[in-house]
Amino acid sequence: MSYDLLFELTLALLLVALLAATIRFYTRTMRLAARIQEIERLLSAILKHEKLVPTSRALNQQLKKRKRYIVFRVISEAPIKTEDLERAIEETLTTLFGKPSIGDSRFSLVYHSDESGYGIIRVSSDWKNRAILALSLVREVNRSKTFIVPIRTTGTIRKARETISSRS
Amino acid sequence: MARILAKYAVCPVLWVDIYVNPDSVEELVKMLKLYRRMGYSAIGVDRAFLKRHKKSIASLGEEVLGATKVRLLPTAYIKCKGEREAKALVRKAFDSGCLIIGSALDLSAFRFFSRDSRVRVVELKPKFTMNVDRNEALLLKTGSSALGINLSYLLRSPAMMSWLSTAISRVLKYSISLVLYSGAKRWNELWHPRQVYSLFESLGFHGRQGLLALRPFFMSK
Repeated sequence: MSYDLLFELTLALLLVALLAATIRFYTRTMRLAARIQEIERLLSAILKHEKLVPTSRALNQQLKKRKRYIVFRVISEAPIKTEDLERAIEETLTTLFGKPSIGDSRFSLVYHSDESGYGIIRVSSDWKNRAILALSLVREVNRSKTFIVPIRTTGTIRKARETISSRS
Repeated sequence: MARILAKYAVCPVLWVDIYVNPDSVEELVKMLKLYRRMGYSAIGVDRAFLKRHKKSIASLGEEVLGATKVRLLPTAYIKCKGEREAKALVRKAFDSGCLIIGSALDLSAFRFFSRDSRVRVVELKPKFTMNVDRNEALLLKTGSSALGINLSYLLRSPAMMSWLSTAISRVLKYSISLVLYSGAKRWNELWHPRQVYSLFESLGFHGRQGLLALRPFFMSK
């Protein structure tokens, strides 16, 4: 092997090593800077007796919306299909609060029995009262007179199912 | 919510719907059964309906009326224009000894109903909402009346939510007694106390205020 080739190879290796070291140094500096920033924030909050804002992971968990399961019973002249009931509730929600309400409320008809009339809907916790109002304004489904009685609101689907089984 | 309802259940008079006007006696029977399940203790039935179907209601007997244990109260729903007509109709209704609800078609009848002590409830219509002020509150206190809101308006048109919000906020601002009634013609037009609670919470008020409006102060005995 000629000396020129050897020289060029060595130079290339040195350049790669230098690049890697630069990247490593930069990353460490950024992490260090972020850590220093975090410590500064905590210290200032403690000194000023301010409320500490949680880190992004904890913040995400806080922002995650809690769900509520509303148990209801449908009293009607004729048996009502689940699809018709769901459509009627969605229409009422849309009329009252607009089309984005279906998404905002995270509304979903979880369970409905044609025979007993019991059902469960799932909504976001801050939409609980508005969902019950929408249920109360459903008075006709497929030209059949209907009356929806809200029975109970629970935080878990298990408790909602237990409510229905105890009543049935 | 269950604790709030249970607290009110201890009192002798539970929920009262002061005005319904059923289409037929069969509708009335269905309403009574549903009211019993919802915890209502008394309902005000239109006086003209009770007079028209006196024999049919009497023939229902203890089996239906006794089993449901819901008291039937005769209610006169007076709809008129002008003070003179209002005076004549109120005198006639008062002589028959029933609960009077005044539904005015113009401002003079509205003011007459407010100051007359025989009229227990003055119906609040959308066009009179802006007349609910401190003077109206004083008139209602003089006549010991309450302002009534017919919830059937909301069933006919959900867009009335905005009017309802304005009406309730004005009524509460001037500390006027509020009474809610269904004005139902059919059994599916009734209102469960939980539904009224949610209605008030959705409008931004305390749900308890809605429940208090289902227990009129003049029905405490």
